[in-house]
Amino acid sequence: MSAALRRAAALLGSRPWRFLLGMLTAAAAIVLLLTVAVVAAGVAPRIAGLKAGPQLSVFVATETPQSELEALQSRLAALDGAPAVRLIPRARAFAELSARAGVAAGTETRANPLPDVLVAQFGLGVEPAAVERAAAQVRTWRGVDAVQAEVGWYRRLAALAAGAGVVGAVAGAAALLLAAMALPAAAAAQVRLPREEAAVLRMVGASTSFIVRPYACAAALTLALGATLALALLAVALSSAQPQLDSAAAALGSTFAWPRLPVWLPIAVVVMAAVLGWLTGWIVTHRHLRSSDAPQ
Amino acid sequence: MSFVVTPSTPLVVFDRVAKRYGAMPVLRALSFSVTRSEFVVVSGPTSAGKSTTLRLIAALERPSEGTITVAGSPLAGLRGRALLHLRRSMGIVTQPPLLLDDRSVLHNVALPAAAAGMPWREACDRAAAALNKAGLVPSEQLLRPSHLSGGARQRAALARALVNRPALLLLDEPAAQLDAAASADLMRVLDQFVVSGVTVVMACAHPRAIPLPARARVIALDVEDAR
Repeated sequence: MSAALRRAAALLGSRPWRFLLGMLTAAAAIVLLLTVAVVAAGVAPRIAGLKAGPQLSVFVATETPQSELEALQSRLAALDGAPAVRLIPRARAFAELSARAGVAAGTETRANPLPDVLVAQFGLGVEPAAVERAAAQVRTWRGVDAVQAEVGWYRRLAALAAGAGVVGAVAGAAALLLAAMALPAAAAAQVRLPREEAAVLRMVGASTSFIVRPYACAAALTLALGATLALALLAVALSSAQPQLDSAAAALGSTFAWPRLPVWLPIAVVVMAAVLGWLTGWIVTHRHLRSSDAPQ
Repeated sequence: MSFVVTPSTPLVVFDRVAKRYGAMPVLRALSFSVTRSEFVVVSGPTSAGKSTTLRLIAALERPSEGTITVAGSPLAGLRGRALLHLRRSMGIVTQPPLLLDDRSVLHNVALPAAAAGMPWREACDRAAAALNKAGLVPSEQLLRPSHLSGGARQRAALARALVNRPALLLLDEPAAQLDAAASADLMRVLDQFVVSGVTVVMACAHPRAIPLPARARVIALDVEDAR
């Protein structure tokens, strides 16, 4: 095997531009595949989980005891879509209103007319119809005076997202197909068994595997190095995007961190690329050899 | 590495062998046999089928008709490992010498040993020894074949043919690129191989032009054989 590897290195070194092009093509294809995988596995669920969807504003009837208010808060949090629930106490709302109106708190003798408000904030993944159902359900609860739900904008956003999802899925599938074609092509480009070499090797009694091995190694090396380059590029790209993602997440009241990948995953990517390269190299060289070996 | 063959068994037997390339006949009903440790010269004019005869013995081509037996085994039935074993038991020198120019002379000569399963370093050591015997100095051994003279390439091809210590040596016009003195040297060396038990089958257009050993037997092919 070491002789085959040495020969493979010599083969790649004898045509450096072809090797470089093959490695870059493989790297580009693998970056594309990994980006699709990272977005699907890491980013999409986090976006869906962001509490930036529609809100229900639940106006609590005045004179509702604190215990009942707390019970309402718990029931809201248990609704489908598990909204985040926060309380805007009537006293705080009145104080803010008074401050905005330029009246010093405590100088106004009139009673506070504002109710306590519970705001249920849904995530981006919730269905608009589910929010409307929840609003109708909450209206029937004891202690609830009124419910306000702004779902129209969210319905339009969901329709846009569905359209973008279809376009994204088609583009993703096309990218995967392109990558699936580019990888074997990059490996196959490293294989060129001249007829003369096949003839000499056959003449000296070389077996098929002896002839094919260096070319399979060359193809495997090309894809393995391409995969290593792709992983390095992706790591740089993800860490470069981190500040932008952090600020976007902060604007939505959340935080963002890339999912922690197991150590074996990058190794598996490189090994799989090498195996694909080996198989492609083996098949293509075999085909060249069969045409050279055609009986005369 | 050697063929399993008793002294009385012919090593190579051609029985009414014909070879055609498309409609063009090259050999017609050729029959002969070669015994172990024999020096045989296949002679004849251009297009008489000398090179084809050697390629048929090495099973690099198949006959159109007739049977060829090597070491008691009909070549038509040889497949896979048996065929590899047959080729590894032979040393072949083609005309012109087929050497791969994408590697050094040393690595060309190491190929048969490596192909037979020898570790690469060991194969290179054995190739270096064979090249030294063939008269190529170490600096020449590291050159590409195209950087050598015709005679040196011929000697490198001979070294490659000998590196696996074959029982049968097939040589196509081995003296074509050599001067008279070098040809005489080569014939002496080949005769020594025959004495040590190697069988030599050599194609030669003009056997009278080279000092063949006394033991050499000439099989003359005529263009008429093919027509």
